[in-house]
Amino acid sequence: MSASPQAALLDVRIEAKHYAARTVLEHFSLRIGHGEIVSLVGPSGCGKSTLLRIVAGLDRQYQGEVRINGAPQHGPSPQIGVIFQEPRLLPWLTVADNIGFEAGRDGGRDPRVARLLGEVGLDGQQHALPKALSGGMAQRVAIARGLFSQPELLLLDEPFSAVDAMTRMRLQALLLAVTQTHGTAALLVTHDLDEALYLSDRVLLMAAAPGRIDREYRVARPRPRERRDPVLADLRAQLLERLDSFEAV
Amino acid sequence: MAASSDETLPFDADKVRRPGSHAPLADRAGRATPPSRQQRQQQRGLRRWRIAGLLLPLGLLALIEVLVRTHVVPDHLLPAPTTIAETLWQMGAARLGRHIAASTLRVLAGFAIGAALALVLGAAMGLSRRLDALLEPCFQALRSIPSLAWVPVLLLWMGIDEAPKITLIAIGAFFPVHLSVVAGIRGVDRKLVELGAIYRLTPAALFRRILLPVALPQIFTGLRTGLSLAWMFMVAAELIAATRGLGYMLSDGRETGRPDLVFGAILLLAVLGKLSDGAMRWLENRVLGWRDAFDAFHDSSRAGEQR
Repeated sequence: MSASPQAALLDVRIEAKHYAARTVLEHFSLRIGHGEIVSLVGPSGCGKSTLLRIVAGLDRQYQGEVRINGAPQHGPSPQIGVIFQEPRLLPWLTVADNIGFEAGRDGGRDPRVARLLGEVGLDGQQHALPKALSGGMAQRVAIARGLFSQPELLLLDEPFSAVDAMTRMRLQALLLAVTQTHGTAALLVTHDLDEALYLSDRVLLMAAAPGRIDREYRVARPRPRERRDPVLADLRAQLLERLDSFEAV
Repeated sequence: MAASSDETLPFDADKVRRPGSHAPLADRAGRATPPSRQQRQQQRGLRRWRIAGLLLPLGLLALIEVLVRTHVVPDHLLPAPTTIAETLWQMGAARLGRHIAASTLRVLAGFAIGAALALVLGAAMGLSRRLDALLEPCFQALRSIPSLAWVPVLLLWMGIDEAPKITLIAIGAFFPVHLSVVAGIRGVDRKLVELGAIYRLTPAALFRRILLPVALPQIFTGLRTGLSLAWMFMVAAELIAATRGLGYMLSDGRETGRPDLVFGAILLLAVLGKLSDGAMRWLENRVLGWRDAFDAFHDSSRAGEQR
């Protein structure tokens, strides 16, 4: 949390993003500071995942601009790590080679891999193949892979939605620990309000058709947070109320 | 080390393992991980069936022997296996070796040329939609030409030397491999290609590091089909014009009215085909040990007593 507002890590301004005749995003702007964790929540179809793809550099068909540390972004960048909903590991590579994928054929031997294995709690698993991993372990490998290039920003697209509740809580704690260690900022898309409030400095509620930011909620609670913190519960109630009002329209 | 049972998993909360996932038999370096007790039991049970599978053809040969010896089956239609063995024995190792070597070399040369061309062209067509649109109609037409239709053409163009035989075998091996490479590359999950984009892979690196490994299982199926077709086309080539080889043995046996020679050649073809396919399967299992594939039901666990 060394957020100096004038030098934003990520600065997104999107005039419009269309899919065929549909406007997915309109007049969207978002700034994320160094080390800041921001969650995007909102009804399905509000363009959360599209936004993430644009920031990741995978989708360049939009009107607007994405700047990273002030420099305009053209395509995927080593300053951004991406963690998908599913681990998306390469099944023919060992855990170590998956983590070090970016470093090429012998990426698994990179000293950073051994350190990351320890950080995500997978010591001794470096030679295992993905088929021998549980869902939670596979997602740990994906987190380590996302951190391998020491990015300043992690993008996470509903990263913990496919694991059971206990594993999810452990992975959330893990994510907080590693982002803190590396000073990494994170932009997280999630459906889980509790997850958003537990992890984030800010929760952005998006509205659909066209996708835009409806409200911003600051979560001014020190970490580690108590999941049953009444402040979080209050924010959750506000979020739910606002979400319900969308349905009523 | 891969966890081989739930008790050895380091995280309690990660206990929910993907259904059907089990410890790999070997990691990428080919180093075997110690199998669990249950796996050993399954393997021991399976070994009996494997031995039975090898004994089955021997049993069938013994049955034929009995049927021929008791004159239930006339021996000018189907010679007794011992007679066939005697014929092969009398031909001597040197002559037999010459026939086998001639055929095997033709198959290997034709298969190598056909498969290599198919890999290159298939990869090019799998990667480039334009090239695919350009070449696919030609290949579709060429593919539908029956193998034997090529024989007179090749004899006309290349004479009766080795060249037309090897070319025919290469044609036979080409198409299944080509099809499998194109289909394998086309079948790659878009999400993995996206992963390649995230890591800013060049097209060549994308092919080498993602597309090729994903397509490999399908390519291996194509290679195995291509290899068995290569044996088939070798016989077609040798039946028509050859002075040695197993196909020549077949036609020689027919012309001289010696069913023992014909069946001797057939027996040798069966053994050689089995050996070459076995070698290919061994290679496949070695290269593709990472697959988390359906491994057929172990019949003993059908009732769920082992789960």
